[in-house]
Amino acid sequence: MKEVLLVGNPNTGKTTLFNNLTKSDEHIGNWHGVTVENKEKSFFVGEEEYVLVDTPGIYSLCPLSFEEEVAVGTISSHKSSKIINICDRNNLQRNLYLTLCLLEQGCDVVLAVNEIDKNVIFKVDYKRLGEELGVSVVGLDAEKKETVQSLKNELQKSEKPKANLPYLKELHWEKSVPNCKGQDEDVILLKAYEKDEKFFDAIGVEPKQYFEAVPSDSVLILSELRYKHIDSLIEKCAKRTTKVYGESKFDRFALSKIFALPIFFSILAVIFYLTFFSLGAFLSDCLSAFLNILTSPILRFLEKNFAGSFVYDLFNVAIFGGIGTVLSFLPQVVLLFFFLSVLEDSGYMSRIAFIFEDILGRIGLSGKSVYTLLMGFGCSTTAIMTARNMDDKNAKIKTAMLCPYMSCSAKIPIYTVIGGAFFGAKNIFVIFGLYLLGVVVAICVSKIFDMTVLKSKEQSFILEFPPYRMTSLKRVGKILWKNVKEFIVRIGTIMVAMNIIIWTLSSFSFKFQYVAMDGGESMLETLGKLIAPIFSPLGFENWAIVASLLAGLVAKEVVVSSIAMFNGIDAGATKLISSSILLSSSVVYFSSKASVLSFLVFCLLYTPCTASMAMLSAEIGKKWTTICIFVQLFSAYIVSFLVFNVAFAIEIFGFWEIFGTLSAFVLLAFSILFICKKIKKKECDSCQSCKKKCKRNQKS
Amino acid sequence: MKTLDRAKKGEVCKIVGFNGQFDRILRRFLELGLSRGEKVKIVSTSLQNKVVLIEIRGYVLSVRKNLLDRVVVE
Repeated sequence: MKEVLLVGNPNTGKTTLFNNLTKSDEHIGNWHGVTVENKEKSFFVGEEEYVLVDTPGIYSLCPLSFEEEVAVGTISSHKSSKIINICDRNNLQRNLYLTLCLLEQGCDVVLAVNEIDKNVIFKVDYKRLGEELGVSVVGLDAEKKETVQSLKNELQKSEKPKANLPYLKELHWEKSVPNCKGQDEDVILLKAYEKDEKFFDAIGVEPKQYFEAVPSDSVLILSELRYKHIDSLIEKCAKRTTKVYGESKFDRFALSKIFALPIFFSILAVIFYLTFFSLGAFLSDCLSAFLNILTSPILRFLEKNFAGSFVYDLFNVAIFGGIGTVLSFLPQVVLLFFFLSVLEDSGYMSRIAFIFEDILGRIGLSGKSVYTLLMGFGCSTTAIMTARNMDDKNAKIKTAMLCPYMSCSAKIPIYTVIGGAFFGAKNIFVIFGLYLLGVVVAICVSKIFDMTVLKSKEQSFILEFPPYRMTSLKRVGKILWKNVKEFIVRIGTIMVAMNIIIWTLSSFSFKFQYVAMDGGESMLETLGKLIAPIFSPLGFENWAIVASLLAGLVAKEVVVSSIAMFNGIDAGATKLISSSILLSSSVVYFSSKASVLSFLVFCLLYTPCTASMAMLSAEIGKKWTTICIFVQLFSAYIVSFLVFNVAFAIEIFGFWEIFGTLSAFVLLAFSILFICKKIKKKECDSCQSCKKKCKRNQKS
Repeated sequence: MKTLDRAKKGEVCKIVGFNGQFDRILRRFLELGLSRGEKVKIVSTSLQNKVVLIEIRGYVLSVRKNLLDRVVVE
C-alpha cells in the first residue's frame, strides 16, 4: 500500500477531493480551516490500493496555527510519499507558492488544479504549466467523480519527476561556509535562506554561521524570487481576467458598518424561526403522527399477549415512549444542521468573523471563534475541535470551553417538550431567551477568564476571504441524508441503551422487585431522593427531575426521554406515550412556572454530554476540562438560582412590581458606582502626593 | 515613512519594504504575496477599524490593522 498525501492551501477543496476519491463523507465547508486533523482512508486505482491522507490547509512549510503544524509535521515525516498538491484555479498565483515550497523540498508532487468555481478568473494551459514546472498537472472538479480519472492515472506513474526551479540558482553564499556533514549543499543553502532553525536543530548543527553567510533579508529575497517565478509562469501558461477572487458586491452591505449586524441577526432569526417553529414544528408533528400510526399495532399486539407484565411496559414506556418523544424531533435537528451547513458553504462565515473580530476581541476571543461557536449550536463535540484554528493557545482553550454554552441541538427536545407544556405559544420567547442566555453567560465567563487566568494576545486574524458559493442540490441531499442517518443511529444505539438502563433502574427496587405497579421505591428514586435536596434552592426537588438531569450527562436527549418514561411509569399508562400526554402530565413534577424556567436554564448551562467532555479533554487537556466542568456546574447553579427566584417573585408579586424593584436596585448600584468614580477623580485632581500609581500621574 | 496601517479605505498603495524581524507574521505576509512593488488596496474596515480587508495579487485578505505597520508603502 502506498501513502498519498493531500496538501494544499486552506479552502481549496482538499477534503472535497478526499471524499470524492475515497467515497467518504468528511465534513467540508467554504471556510478556512474546516479540516483540523489528518484523515486517512484507502482507495483503489485499478488493482492497486492507496492510502490517502487528508491534511489541514497550509500556506507554506512555516506553520502559524495548531492545525498547520499538524500538516507540516505530516509532510516532513512522509518524505517519500507522493503528494497531491491541490490548487484553486481562481487563486493560482498564491496557491503555486506552496507548490514551489514543496518542490524545493524535493517532494514527489502531482499538481491538481481544482476548477470547482464556474466563475473563471484564470484560464490555464495545464500542459504548458506542467512542462515549465517539471511535474504533472491535471485539471479537475473536486466534486465530480468523472474528472478525477486523470489524477488517478498520474498516481500510477512510478518515476519521480524532476522539478524545474531556475530561480534557486540565484541563491548564493556571501561568505564561505564549512561543509555540513552528509548534507547536500543546495539544501543547506536553501534552509539558510529560509532561516529554518528547526532544520539545523534536527541535524545537530549550529545554524549561526550559515545564517550569517546569506543576506540579512534572505527570507524576503527568497519569497520574492518565488513570486517572480510564479509571475513568469502565469504569464506563459495562463490568462487572467480582471476579476478579484473573493470579492463580491454583496459585501458592500454585509460588511458595512450600518447593515452588517442587522443582516447577521436577521439571518440567524430566520434560521431560528424556520427550525423551531413554522417548518420544523410542522414536520415534527407530521413525524410524530406517523410514528403513532406505525407503533400502535405493535403495542396492541403486545398488550394482548403481555399486558401487565414488564415486557409490555419495557416496550411501551422505555422504547416507544422514550424514544418516540425524541425521534419526533428529527426534522428540527436535521433542519438546524442543514442551515448551519448552508451557512458554512456560503462563504459568509469569513465575513461574520471579520465583523465580529472587534467585538469578540474585547472579551478575549477572536472573530474566528464565531465559526466554532455557531457550529456549537449544532453539536458541541464536533465544534470543539474546530477551535484549533486559533493561533493562540489561550484563545483556543477559551473558545473550546465556551462551546458547550451554545445550546446544542440535543437540547431542542427539552425546550420544546417541557417549555411547550407550560408556556404554550409563548414558548417561542422562552426558547429564544434561553439561546440568548447561553450566549450572554458565555460572554461573561470568557471575560472573566480573559481578565484572570487565560489572557490571550491579539490574534493576527490573517484570514482569506472565499467567494460566495451556493450549496449544490446534490450536496443538499447529502447533508440531509447524513444528518438523518447520524440522528437515527444515535437514537438507535446510545438512546435505546440509556433508556433501557434508566427504565430498569426506575422500575426495580434494590431488591430487584418490579415496583412500577405497586408504587414501591425504585433504585433511581432512592438515589434521586438523596441528591434532590441540593436542587431545592433552584425550585425543583422532585427525584425524577434530578434523575433525568443525571441521565442527561450521557446525552441531552435522555433528559426528555427519561422524564417521559417516569411519567409513563407513574401513571401506569396503557396508551402510547406521545409528547401530548407528556405535556399534560409532566405538570406533576414542577411546582410552578418559575421552577420550569429554572430547570430549563440548568439544562442549558450544566455540564455537556460525555462525548463532548471527552473531546474537550483531548483538545485542551484534563486540567482545563475539569475546570470547565466546575465552571459549568457553578454557573448553571447560580444562574438557575437567580432565574428561579426572580421568576418566582414575579409569579407572586406580579411583573411590574418586581421589575420596578429590580430597576431601582440597578439604578442604586449604578449611582453608587458613579459616585465612587467621582470621588476617585476628585482625589486625583486635588492630591499631588498621591502614593498610589494612577493613570493620570503616569501620563504627567 | 508611511506604513500600510495608515492607509485609508479605498486607497491603493505600492509596497516598498518591510519593518522589523522576519518573525512568523512577516513570513506569513511574504507567503501570502505581499512583496516589494506589489500594489495593495484597502477594501474595507471592520466596525471599530481594528481589522482591515486588503486586496493583493487578485484576492482578498483580512488582517488585523496594527500588524500592517510592518509593511512600508508609498
